[in-house]
Amino acid sequence: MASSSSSALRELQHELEAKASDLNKLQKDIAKNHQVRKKYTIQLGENELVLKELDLLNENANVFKLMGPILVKQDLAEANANVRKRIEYISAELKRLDGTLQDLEEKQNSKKDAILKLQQRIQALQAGKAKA
Amino acid sequence: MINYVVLKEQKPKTVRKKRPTPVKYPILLFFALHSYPFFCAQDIELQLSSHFFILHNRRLRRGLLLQVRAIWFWQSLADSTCPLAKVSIDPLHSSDDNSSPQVYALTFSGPTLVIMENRLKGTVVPLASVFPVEEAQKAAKHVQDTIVDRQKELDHLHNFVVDNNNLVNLVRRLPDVLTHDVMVPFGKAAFFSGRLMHTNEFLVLLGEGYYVERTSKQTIEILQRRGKVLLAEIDSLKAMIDDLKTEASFFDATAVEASEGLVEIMEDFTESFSDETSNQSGLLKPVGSSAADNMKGAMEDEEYARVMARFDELEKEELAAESNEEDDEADFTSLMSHDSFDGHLSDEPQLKDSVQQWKDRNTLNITAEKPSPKNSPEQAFVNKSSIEDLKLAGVPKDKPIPVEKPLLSPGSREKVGTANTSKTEVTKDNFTGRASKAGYDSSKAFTGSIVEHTHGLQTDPLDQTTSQPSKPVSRFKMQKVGR
Repeated sequence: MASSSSSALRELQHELEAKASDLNKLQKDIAKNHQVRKKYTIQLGENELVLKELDLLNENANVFKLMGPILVKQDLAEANANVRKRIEYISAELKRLDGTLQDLEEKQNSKKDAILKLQQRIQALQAGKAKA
Repeated sequence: MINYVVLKEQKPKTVRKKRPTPVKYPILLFFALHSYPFFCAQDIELQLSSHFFILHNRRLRRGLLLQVRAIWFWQSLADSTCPLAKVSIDPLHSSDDNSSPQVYALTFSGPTLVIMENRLKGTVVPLASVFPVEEAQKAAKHVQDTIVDRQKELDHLHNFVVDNNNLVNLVRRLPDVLTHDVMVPFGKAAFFSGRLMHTNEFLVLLGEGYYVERTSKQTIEILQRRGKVLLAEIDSLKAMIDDLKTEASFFDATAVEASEGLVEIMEDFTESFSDETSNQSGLLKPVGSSAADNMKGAMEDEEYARVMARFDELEKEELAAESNEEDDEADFTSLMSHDSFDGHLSDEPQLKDSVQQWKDRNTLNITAEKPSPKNSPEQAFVNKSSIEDLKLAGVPKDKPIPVEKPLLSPGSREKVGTANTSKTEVTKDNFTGRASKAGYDSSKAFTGSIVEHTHGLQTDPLDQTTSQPSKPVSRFKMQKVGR
């Protein structure tokens, strides 16, 4: 009787550990997500600034793009289109990240609940054991 | 020492209906957070068995802290079930004869958390249980840390702004001459002397690897636009810091208050309240305008309106509950309008008058006047369409007052009705006077002066006209001097 209860307890504890590591992983993912998002938001801001400046330029201005170690002369219209495309891409990426973040948070919450329940069960078991 | 006495709801209606006589002397107590002993300037027979009613409680600081503003102390003749053993009532003045008005200080001692039944009105819990002290402190600390972080960011941005300004100056100066002799960095450590030739050609990095050729002027424009962006960011950051600071102070205050044992009152928002508010504001406006002629611009204090609205709501509940106690309701209305949370009264002579009248009434013990005591206040209260109504109801009833017959059976209470009617008149003056005062400062709260309620009658119409405030004197002080 005592051995069965103790083995059950051990099982529960194993489960708990597994869940805890899962939760840890999730939290790491979320943190990473946050970081990436931050990076993208900064880039978005920068691109928007560039776009504003490019819009203000007149057509015969010389625009260069730094490609590796060299400056390549670019058409203004081309540069403009590139920046716009980039902004679009970043916005889409941010949206995607938002989606995944929500997903992750949901998962995290459910994991937390599961862990809480497990802990309660373990406590109940231990209490029962103490009584016995 | 002083703690909140929080009594949430009225006694069950049935109990009150059973009472032989309806409540005769509503007593008004005002108190506030950290207030002094509550003062009460009314009535002769205070009973510990009375019922307290919260008339108004006010949400403070982001709707979390409730400050209980006023308690309506009903003198009950029947019940003694109210657990108010911890209230001590001391007469502030010992008068020579029983008949003169008594002023009591009501001291609530000990951690009295008295909760009467909560009928659909909300819940009362100790603040400490909602926000544990340590938690609040922790939160405050956390917010402080964030503030520090943000402050660092702000400094960073400030540095950027300074750099930008320097750059603008440099760019502006560069094309002044054709060439500049400069030291050109070569590798990490070496320099060699060189010469800047095209002083009006700039290759400006726009970000994201894009460069553009610009003249000095154009470059300055770009830089200035960037400076603007930076400033906007600084502004938003500052706003954020301000926000965090208020949050931190709130947490601090919560921690302190929780450790002091305040209570949290949570009430559900009900539609009727908003209705009341609108009604009330409509009602209050004529008052303000009518006050404008004898006082300098009456202020429509929103706070006041809200307070009044709450009072009104409770009143109406009362009214619905007990249709036989309207005179008290009216009495109460006038009481409410009469009282301000300010605690200081500016109308000194009037006070004197009223005190005098109080004395008169008590010494004389008038029973004679019975100008249909019930009806007029009731109507005034029920209609409530405008203060004009009140006035109309009040003025004619004022007439019989000078016909007071002296020396009738002492302690008799039939006078209430008349008192009410005349009081509506009296208190209106008070109210308007008060409302026009710079108003009620929410931070000030009730400072311990006596909230006085004139049960008395304006026997002399001249008194009324001359009873305009001369200088602000606490009524409490006044009475002391008067004696």
